Amino acid sequence: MVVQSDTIKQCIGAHYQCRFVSYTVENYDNTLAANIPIAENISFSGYNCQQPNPGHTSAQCNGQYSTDGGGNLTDQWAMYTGFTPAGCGENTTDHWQWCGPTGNNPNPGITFGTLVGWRHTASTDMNGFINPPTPIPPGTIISP
Amino acid sequence: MRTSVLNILAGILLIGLARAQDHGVITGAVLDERGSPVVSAKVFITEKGVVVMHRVLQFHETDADGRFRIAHVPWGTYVVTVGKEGAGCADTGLGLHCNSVYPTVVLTEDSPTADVTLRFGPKAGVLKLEPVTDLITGREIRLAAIRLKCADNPDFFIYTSAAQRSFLIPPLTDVLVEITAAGYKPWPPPDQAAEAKINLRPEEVRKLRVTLQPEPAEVTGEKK
Repeated sequence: MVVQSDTIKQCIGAHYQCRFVSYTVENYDNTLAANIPIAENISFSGYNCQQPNPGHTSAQCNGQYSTDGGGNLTDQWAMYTGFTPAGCGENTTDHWQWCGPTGNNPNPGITFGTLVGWRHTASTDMNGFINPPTPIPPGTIISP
Repeated sequence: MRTSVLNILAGILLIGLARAQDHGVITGAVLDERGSPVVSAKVFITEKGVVVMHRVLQFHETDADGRFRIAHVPWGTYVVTVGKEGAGCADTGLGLHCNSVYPTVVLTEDSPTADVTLRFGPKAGVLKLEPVTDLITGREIRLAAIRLKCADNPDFFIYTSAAQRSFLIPPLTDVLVEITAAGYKPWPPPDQAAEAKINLRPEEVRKLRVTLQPEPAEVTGEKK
């Protein structure tokens, strides 16, 4: 998948800061993977803030998540703004997968992008791009 | 007698099902500044005040009449936002907006449906950023970042890659520009602060060229 934008701003509807990353999913022949059902195989580890973890949602192969007609998807990562101690957070590994035509689970071997990093109180890391200060430049390819 | 018992049981089951339904429907229309429907706009709802640390944004596109329908929405208070790539309005989607207030709707058992009208506009100004370069070498600094901030309300900002090059600016609004990159002094320096404050008319295009001065190399090693 190809990064289109990587933007930090206030989360919609809440006074937290969020990192919004938009991607375009492309087939190997560079055509757009439009309207494909998608899901995440995501794991979290090492949460070390004093406050209870607010929790996450992730895309499932349940018919509700898909790229749009332009092959786009947008991911939102909230930072642990105001959590203590400063710098706390958790690690994440996120495999984006194309749901199979049958069943509810992604078919093996169809991961189209993997993000590895962490989210702390004031910044997030995705594949080595720690934002702030360094957003992912548009056009960056996220490999399986 | 047997039929009556079955009817009562069916009635109890239906009441139970009705109570088990804890979700409703949000419908609405998206209009441009002239009041015309906006086709293929992307509507997004989020529960107000609820913090979800990670999620995928699911957009709901408007139809040929500029209308949308979002079903199976659990009871709650929702903020409704809209965006459309290429519409040229800053106050939609994930772009920079200043002081925009998003409409909210409340779904409850007594009020399971809500209808809302969302309006685009006015058109934004456009900031066209030339490639950010190193003052000494002239090379492009690809990992530079740009912060756009509403001068009157710094809580409204976006921070993104300067390689994006084109940014929608809320019209007739003071917006502050700051460009940073690791290893460089931030822009603007104090003597160029006026250049970093922009106020654009709708659809006005402003070009900006920025060079960054490298930070002095840190002195390492011990004195002997």
